[in-house]
Amino acid sequence: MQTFWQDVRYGLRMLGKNPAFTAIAILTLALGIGANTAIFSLVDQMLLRRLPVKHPDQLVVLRSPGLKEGHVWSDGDDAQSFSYPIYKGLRENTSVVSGMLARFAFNASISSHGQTERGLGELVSGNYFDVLGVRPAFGRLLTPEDDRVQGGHPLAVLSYAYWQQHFGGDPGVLNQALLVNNTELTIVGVAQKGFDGIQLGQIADVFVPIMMKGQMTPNRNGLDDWNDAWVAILARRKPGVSSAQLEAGLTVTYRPLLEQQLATNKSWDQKKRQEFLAKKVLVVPGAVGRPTLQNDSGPALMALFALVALVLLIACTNVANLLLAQGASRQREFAIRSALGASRGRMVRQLLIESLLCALGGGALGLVFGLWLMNLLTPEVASAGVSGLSSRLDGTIWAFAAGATLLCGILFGGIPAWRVTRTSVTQTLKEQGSTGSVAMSHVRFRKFLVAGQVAFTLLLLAGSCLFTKTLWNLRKTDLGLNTSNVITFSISPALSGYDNARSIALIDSMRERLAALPGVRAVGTSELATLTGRNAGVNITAEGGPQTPDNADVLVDFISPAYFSTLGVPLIDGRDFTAADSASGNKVVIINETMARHYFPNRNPLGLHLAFGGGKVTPDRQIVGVIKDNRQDHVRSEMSSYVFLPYAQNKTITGMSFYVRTQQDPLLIADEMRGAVRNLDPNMPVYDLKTFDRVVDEDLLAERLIAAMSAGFGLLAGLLAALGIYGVLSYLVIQRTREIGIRIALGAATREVRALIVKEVGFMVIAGAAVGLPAAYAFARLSESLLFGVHANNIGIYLLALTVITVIAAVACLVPVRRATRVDPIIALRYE
Amino acid sequence: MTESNGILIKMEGVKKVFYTDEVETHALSEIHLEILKGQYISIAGPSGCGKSTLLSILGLLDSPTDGNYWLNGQPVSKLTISERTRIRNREIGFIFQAFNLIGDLTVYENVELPLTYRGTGAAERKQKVQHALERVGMAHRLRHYPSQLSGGQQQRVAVARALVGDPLILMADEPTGNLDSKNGEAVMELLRDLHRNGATICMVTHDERYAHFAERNIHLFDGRIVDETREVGASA
Repeated sequence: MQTFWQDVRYGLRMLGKNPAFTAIAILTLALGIGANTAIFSLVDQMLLRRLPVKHPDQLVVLRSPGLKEGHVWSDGDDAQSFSYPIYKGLRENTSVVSGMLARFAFNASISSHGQTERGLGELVSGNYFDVLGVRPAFGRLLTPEDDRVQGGHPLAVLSYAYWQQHFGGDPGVLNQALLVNNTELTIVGVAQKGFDGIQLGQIADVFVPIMMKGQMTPNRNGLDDWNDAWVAILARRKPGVSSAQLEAGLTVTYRPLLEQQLATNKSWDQKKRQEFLAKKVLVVPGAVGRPTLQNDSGPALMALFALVALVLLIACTNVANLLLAQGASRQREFAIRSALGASRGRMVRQLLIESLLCALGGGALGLVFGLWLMNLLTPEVASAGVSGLSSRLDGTIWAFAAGATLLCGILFGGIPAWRVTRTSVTQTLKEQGSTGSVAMSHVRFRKFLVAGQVAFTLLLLAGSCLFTKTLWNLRKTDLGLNTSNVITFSISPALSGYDNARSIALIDSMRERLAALPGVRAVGTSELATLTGRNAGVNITAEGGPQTPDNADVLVDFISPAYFSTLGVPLIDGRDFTAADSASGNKVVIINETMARHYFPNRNPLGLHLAFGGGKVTPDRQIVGVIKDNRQDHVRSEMSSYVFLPYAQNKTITGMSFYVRTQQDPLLIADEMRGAVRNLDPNMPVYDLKTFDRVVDEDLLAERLIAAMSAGFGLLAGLLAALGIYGVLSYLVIQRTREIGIRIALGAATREVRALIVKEVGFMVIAGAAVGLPAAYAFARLSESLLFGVHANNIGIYLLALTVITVIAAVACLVPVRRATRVDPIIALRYE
Repeated sequence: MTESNGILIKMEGVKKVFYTDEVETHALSEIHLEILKGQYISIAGPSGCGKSTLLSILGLLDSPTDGNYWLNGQPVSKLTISERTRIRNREIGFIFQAFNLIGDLTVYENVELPLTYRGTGAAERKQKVQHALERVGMAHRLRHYPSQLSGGQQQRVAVARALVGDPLILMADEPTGNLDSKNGEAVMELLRDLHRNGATICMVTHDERYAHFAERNIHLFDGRIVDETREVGASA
């Protein structure tokens, strides 16, 4: 132990003796460790973090892919949605799980202390908390007793965070009334601290018995409807039951339930019925809860993590290179130590302690940099709706940073330590005093390291080129609508107790008020907020159109007159909706070009009819207009068949998004817009108020994030590669000064000396490219799902990356080349 | 000044002053020197007398501060770096005390180096390298690296490298300084053989034994030529 501290003291002295080396090494490592820590914090929170429940590994999420019948509510994976009767049937008849819960997230208009706010609620089965093993922080949680009568359990359990935030942790909250979606609920308890639901990005404020579905989503009850799939199911597997056994057991129970559901459908032919009955129940791990966000953002985050890991690798390579240079100049010291009886292990330990001390400095500074980066990234990610992210340094992040630091210390310190202490004592002592040919093995190894660095940098540069090009392509994509000078916001009248007729009247009035504001050019509305990823599908029957199951699905939205003109979507045939298209008016629709092409090929769809639903329905909705295709749900989504209906003909309006086109900066009228809504209903929460450009930005969050980060990492890697190349070449020139002197004495011209050094750079770049380019291609292939308008086989991207690294190498070798050509042969050859 | 006089090197009033900070060091003063073709000349003197500086200027590795220098009838004291490089490559062969072979190149590649810089074709290079190595008795070590050779052998290779381009003059700077007496003698015999075959040699040495291998011995002291003796029967 005493020798250990001696080594530590000596290591600190050595680091202090070379402040430039120490500063560069610590800074390099700090950049690598910091960037990794920040990205890891996102990976941890968004992909890895387990639910704070009992034995999360035992949880599974149920899926049933295949044919669906009726209405399906989905937030990304249709297969995860089940009807409530199916859930009940599975829960009551299966023996392979120890518990099975149902859950549905809903938008909640929550009024407390006279203030109404928009929040998020979870409708949960009575066994929800029991199955998860969540305890109350205060009061009680919901139980199966609260799961008996539809509409008969007006109870609420608050999340701990909501309780703290809105009630200041007041214990007197128990038995108080809370108005949620215009229904008075009694608060019975607060859930355990840290537990806020089972889906990342959906932080529940309040948990309500699932029997209150009809009250919480006023237009759709669904508790008895076999053909309304809205429930997400999580189950806790019994110990010892494998996934295969679980799926087999659940599927056995599922089949009779499917038969019961099928009994409600008379229109399907035999083939479809067989296909429907063949559906199975599959399970996916549920330790992280419902993996919706994980599935959506996983590939992008993992790509980012791979890129940032490369940055750390490059940083380590750089520091290893620096250490080798330093080590070479300390070979005599180690030869003397060895001559005095130090074992190789002892010397390796000495060097490792020095590198670990250096890594420790890098890790500490890296944490500061990482925290700064986390503070920068987290709000960006959160702004796109991923709530619940934190930029705090928790235990996991500390552990990661510590692990990365330790790994770095061993990685960049171990190999140089091993190599530096390898040389024989006599040879080293002899070489130091002689003028014999210089041992170049260290230089060769350093060149190899730099070649590796070039390979990693190429990979990073190619990756950042691909992602930047993807973002560029998306920015340049013709959305089919004009996003500038438009501001948008949403309301949910149904959640504030409005019935359908009052909702329509409110929206009509709001349109008028908004249109009358100074500077407003047009106002439009749609039920589904445009470009936010929301869509609703429906089966249709088109007059004289194809009727195969594959093409009978279209997307549908309810809109106002002037919706298209407000958003700059051209009407290419027919007319827009008007005030005459009211609830009592003719049933009319507007379709897009894709739908016209698909359902009415070689025909003019104007005046033709369609109906919602399959089977024996009579098409009764007349097509009155055709609009040019536009991106409706995502910037990068394919054009789909769309049917638009007048919102006045919607019988179940829940919410509405408004779009206001202005003459000036739209944010200037934001307060007046809020005021217009307040004048009509002071308690109506306005949410998601933002410019439409911001909506597009949020839709491109993943692409923006990955492009910006990969470009930043590429830049960093380029800088580190330049440092690496410069360091090795400078060292090489010093090592080869005598050789260069000999060559100059023998008649080597400046260009030949220059070629000597450039050849070295060329080798490093070519060797790096030989590894880096195939690796970049492989990375691009793996990331193809993240790309848009650019493919892995785009040669231009690799050529660009190669050009950039070549320029970096060229710049990095300028000074060493200059030094080499200025070697004075007299000095170089002087014999001492 | 023409070649026909048989004068290969002529120096008139050559001076060399080194300036370091505010100190002027006069390394050479008023050097007047003529070397005829085929002569074997040694420059001797105590350490720091300016021997190596003189050899550097003679070998166009350095330029005089003042004075004139003609090599083979051509004034060379004011040449550009590239012109001096070219002359060095084609007309001067160097032999160093520390051999100065390049450790990462084989014997063959080391000897080939001056021809490479001259742009000589591969076949001619091969023939000349082979010939040069045969002259110094090292043709059997073509593929060896310097570290695999003894000091004497390394210096033979260095001599072959100096000879390979058929230079007008060989400049040898303490060629035996790093060798034991046996190997030192052998190298000196080699130089004597070369001289007998017509080579012009200018050698710097502080070893009196080897200075007498040359036919002219110039003695330097404090940067000036203080004495010149001629050996009767030297190199014969």
